[in-house]
Amino acid sequence: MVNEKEILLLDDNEVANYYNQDIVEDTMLFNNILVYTNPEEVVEFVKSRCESKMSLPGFFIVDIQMPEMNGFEFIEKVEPFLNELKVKPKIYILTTSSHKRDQESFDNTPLALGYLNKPLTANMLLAQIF
Amino acid sequence: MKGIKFPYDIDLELVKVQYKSVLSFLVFALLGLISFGQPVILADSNLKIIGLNSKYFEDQSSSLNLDQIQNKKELFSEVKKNVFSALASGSAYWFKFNVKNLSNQELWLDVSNSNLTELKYYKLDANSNVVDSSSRSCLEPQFSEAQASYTFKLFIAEKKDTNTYQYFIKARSNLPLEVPIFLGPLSEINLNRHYFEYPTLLFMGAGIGILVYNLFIFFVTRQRLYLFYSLYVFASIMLGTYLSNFPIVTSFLGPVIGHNYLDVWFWTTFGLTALFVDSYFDLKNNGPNFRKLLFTEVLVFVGIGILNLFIPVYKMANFYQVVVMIFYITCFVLGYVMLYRRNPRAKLFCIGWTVVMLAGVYYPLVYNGILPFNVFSKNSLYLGGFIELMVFSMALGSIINDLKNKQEKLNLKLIKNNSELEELNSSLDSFNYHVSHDLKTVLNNTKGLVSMADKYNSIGDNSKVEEIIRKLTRVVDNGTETVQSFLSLGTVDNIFKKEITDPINIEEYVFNTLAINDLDSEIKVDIIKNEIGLLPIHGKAFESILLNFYTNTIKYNDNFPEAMIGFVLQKDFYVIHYKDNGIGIDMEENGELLFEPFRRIRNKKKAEGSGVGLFLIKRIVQNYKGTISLQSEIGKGVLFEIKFPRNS
Repeated sequence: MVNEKEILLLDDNEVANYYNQDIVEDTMLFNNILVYTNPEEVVEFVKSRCESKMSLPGFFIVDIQMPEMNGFEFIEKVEPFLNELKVKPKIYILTTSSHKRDQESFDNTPLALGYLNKPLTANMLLAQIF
Repeated sequence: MKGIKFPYDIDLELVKVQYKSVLSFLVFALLGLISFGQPVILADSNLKIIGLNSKYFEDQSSSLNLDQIQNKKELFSEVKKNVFSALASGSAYWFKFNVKNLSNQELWLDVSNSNLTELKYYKLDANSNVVDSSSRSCLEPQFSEAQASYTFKLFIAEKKDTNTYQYFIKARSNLPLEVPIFLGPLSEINLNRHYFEYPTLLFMGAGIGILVYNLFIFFVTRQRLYLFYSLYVFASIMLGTYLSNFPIVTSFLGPVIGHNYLDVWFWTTFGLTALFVDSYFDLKNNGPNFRKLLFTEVLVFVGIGILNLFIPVYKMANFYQVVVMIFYITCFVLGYVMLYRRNPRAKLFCIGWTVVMLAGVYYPLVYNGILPFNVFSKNSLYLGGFIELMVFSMALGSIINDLKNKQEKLNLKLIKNNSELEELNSSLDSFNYHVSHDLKTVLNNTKGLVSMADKYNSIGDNSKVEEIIRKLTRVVDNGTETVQSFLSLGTVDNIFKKEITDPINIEEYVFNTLAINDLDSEIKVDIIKNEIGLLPIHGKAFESILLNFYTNTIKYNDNFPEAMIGFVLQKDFYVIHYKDNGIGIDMEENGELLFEPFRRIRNKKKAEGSGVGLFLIKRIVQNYKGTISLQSEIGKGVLFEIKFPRNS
């Protein structure tokens, strides 16, 4: 079960989260925006929501380069939980990287629906969601 | 005939050695060596080598006939050797001996020298009448006897004829003369021949095998060395057989050219030897002077060959021997000089050539009656040549092996280089990845914040704009720091490229680094121990270490940053301790990863960094062959320990 009105932003850089949040707010599509800098915390968050049968955010915007784990490793960790859901949250990669290796990882991660290049804009977000 | 002993029957009585049971060539060889200086009896007691029992006369005019010789009986002198030998000359040599055949067998005579240009035989009865005579010459080989023969093998006395006869033999040669005269029944004469000829055949056979093999290698590899070696082996076979009873060369040059104009072809042996030695050692590069010497000597041989067209061989043969000796000594010395210079090919060459030289020395000793004449001595040159060919073949084989080893070494090196390149490439790739990420982040953040500020500015939300600008300032500061830390990586590389400078006063550096970077008011640093004073390290490198320590202490701290530094002198090490009062690091979680480039760890201060600092310190320390380690606990600060070996 997912909540289409809820979105989760994951980026280790606080400044990036700060203005991404602002852009997401401006779209007026969501009534709850969750912001995280540590992917481990998000894994815990997803785990607890699933265990308590609560709905997950409908959208995840995930950075690639983070100290604890990169975005793809994060998706791998939450995958078992998401696989149990009929309707899965839509996960988007948001990154500065245009490295071939990251593109390949993206291609090998079916759960990631889009590959967005930083900086995030309202138009980019709308184009992905609709 | 009164008073004259009849050597044939006397010696038959005296010496009864049964050799039939010890036919092996090698056993012969050993016996030959052991019985040094003793008269040698070969093969069978019925066979006699009669040098000691004959007399000789040198006819310098070489024009006297039998009648004239018979009148000069008083001029004959004792041979005193088993085998008569003399230097090359134009003289004819006459030998005489008496034989009484009591053996109850047909008596035969064998003069085993295939290089005699004239060989005459006379049998005289008690009245000095010639009852039989014969003539032979290597220039006109005859094949009419029981066997094809370049030499003399004659029936000289009937089975039942017990009369005493006097025999004369006249011999001439272009070369140094050697006249082994054997008497005995035909079967023994033939057997004796075989002992002399089989080793020669063995040598020829092996030589031809080696020749074909090396030619084959030449056609496959197209390396001239193998061609030269094949030609050298070919020439050795021609030379070797010429001196034995199988003068192959005369069969296609004709006996007259083969024997009278000897050096028309003889010099090729030495020329090809020189070519082989030249390419074996690559003398062009490894011994240009030896090269000149060798080929000068070959020119001398060619010169002798030309002279030979006008001057008879026997006038030059002795001199020729000296030149050959010089040539062989040149090669011999060359081998040992190369060995001294640690040329990898020299060892086997020296072994081969030493064997040849030993044989070359041994043979003249036999020639001159100092060592016994027997199968071994007669064949020592072939044996030497045979071993030499074998050793050289091994040497050439080892060249192939060297090539193989070289190839393998090159392959290994290539693989190593390749993996180093791959490693470098991947580290460059990783560097690029991180640098571009960090720089892009700065730019994206700036761009994002600026457009955000623009938005709030337009709606007049001043407090929000102020908040954004504060964040913007921090982003720019962090950006500057990031760029600087990347640049410092390059600076350190530059430092390492420079020469080592004088030792620096570390205490001064500790405080100067604070002052230069305006950190005096941000951190309190104490030196609690200084046993080192002057440290042999580049100032910039040391400053870089300190600055990274300081900024970490300042960045990751809940209190006013403080650090204590200790410089300790140990037996083998300079030890630097740096302890701070920062927030500490969870060692279990992060451990050694800390020193990897671009590795940032989560911290409660949420301070930003590029992940370069500790990596940089580690690189500097490693460059001085030192080590770095740290101890830490959350909330208890960190303690770094750097150790530099004192001898470097």
